[in-house]
Amino acid sequence: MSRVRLNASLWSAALLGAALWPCLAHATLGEPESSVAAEPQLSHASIKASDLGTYRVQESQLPSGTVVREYAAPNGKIFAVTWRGPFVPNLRQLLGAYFDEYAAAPKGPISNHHHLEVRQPDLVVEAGGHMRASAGRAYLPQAVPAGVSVGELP
Amino acid sequence: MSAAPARAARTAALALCALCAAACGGSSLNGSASSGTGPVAPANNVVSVSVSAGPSSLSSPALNTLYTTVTVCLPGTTTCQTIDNIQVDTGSYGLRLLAPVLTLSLPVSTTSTGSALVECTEFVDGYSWGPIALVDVQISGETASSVPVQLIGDARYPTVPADCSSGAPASENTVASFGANGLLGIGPFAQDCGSFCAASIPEPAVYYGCSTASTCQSTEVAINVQVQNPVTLFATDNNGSIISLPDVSDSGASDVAGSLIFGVGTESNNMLSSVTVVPIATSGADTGYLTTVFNGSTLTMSFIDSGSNATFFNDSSVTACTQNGFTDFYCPTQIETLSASFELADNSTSSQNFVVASAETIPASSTAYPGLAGVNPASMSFDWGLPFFFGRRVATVIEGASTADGTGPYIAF
Repeated sequence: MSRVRLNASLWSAALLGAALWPCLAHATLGEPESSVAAEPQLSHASIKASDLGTYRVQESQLPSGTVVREYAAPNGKIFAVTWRGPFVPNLRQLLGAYFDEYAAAPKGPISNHHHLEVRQPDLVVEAGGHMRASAGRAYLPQAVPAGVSVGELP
Repeated sequence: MSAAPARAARTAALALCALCAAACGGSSLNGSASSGTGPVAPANNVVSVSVSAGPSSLSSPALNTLYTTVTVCLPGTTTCQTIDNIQVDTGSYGLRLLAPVLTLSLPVSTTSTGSALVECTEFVDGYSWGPIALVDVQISGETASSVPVQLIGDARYPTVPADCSSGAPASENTVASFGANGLLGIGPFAQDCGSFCAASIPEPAVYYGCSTASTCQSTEVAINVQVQNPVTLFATDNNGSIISLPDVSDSGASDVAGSLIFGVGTESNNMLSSVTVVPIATSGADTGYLTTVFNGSTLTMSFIDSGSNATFFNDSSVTACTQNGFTDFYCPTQIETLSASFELADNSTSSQNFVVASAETIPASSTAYPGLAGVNPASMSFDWGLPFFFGRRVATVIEGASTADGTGPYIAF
């Protein structure tokens, strides 16, 4: 519960001033958007955010050039992350507590080096691309806000 | 030699590329009569390829996976090994060999500070860890000397760094988990990382210097030391390659034979007629991608890739599969023929049909199945995998390489 209250206060603070946005760093799937996983390599990340009503999206560009977007529900919980760019991001950090589940889950029977689907009751990871070009998304099906289609996230 | 002049030259070449592609895109490269699809006559620049089941150690036969045979030698010697079941991949760059199948004893390359040079290759479905070594590469009659290649799963470097294992779900350091005895990356770039890794270190990193078998530190690596697309190092026919595969019945087929032809427009057997040239972006957020227009959407993160085993696109009107493990694939009750367009250099488009069939009813004997199609995890992407290559001659021209139809990188068919 304390987490929820903490997050709610940060949510309000974020809405108060755009100046705060550059201070918000990278969050992690399933965590409150304020979790700011301490990631030194993100200290130079450029961050922008927008409020789209049913969810909020925060975009970071990693030093590698890869762009990471995190989608927060109105309750502040990150329900989806996406990435695109020349290098895959550190998924252990991006998926947080869900990384081990992602790593242990059975791969789909038609997965190959350039395509992957992991589908668990509480976690979906889909990724594709080729060398020097990576794209993917991970989301928590039960945390997706009503009315939001993951396939249409910008 | 300093890398700067080479970089400047390449930048100039890439700048020229845009002009040339604009001037030449869509023109015809009329050649000999060898414009049919499928296997071509044996020649110095031709190696057989097959859409086959792959190594016998795989837990299930490979599907829509293209294999060939490569010979590697200790540099400057006739001590060589011929390795089959090497996957042919236009979506990666450089030769990678599974160390467990190697009988050659290859010295490991070193960094500028004398550590062993070891690479982490992040594929979408797994990471592959292993050292870099130099080999002479022989494919068909083409040879390249002292080519940096990756030896995946080499017992000399058994410890995968934590950040390497943070970019993909599982290790792919054995033939069974990798799906092949090696990977021949002949895509449109000359190195597996390029200028970025010469000056910076991504996270997770690509290259590491290992002072002991298990003490490794990520490092920058000069461009010419990185794993190289071997085609660029051939003495001749080094501007790209053509994959020629026959048409495959919608019901599927097994062991589909074709040819990999080196060079584009350099020999009588590698001319393309009525060619469609699809440019690949070399700068900006869409670097490495081409553009496909589908259902009214302009998808700027699209690619044509022999290493993808299906056509991956998004269309909610196509019935999705329901079986566990297949839910990201399409399962129309009847085969559907759809159409999408490539955006060309002059902003015109070229329309291409493709088929979508049920991923749940693939005949067990099939190793090639044109209708395999699934959801693309990126909303701005269309991945034309191996099914696109069936019944076509698809040319992949490497960055900075000259052809009569313009300067690479581009794909033509």
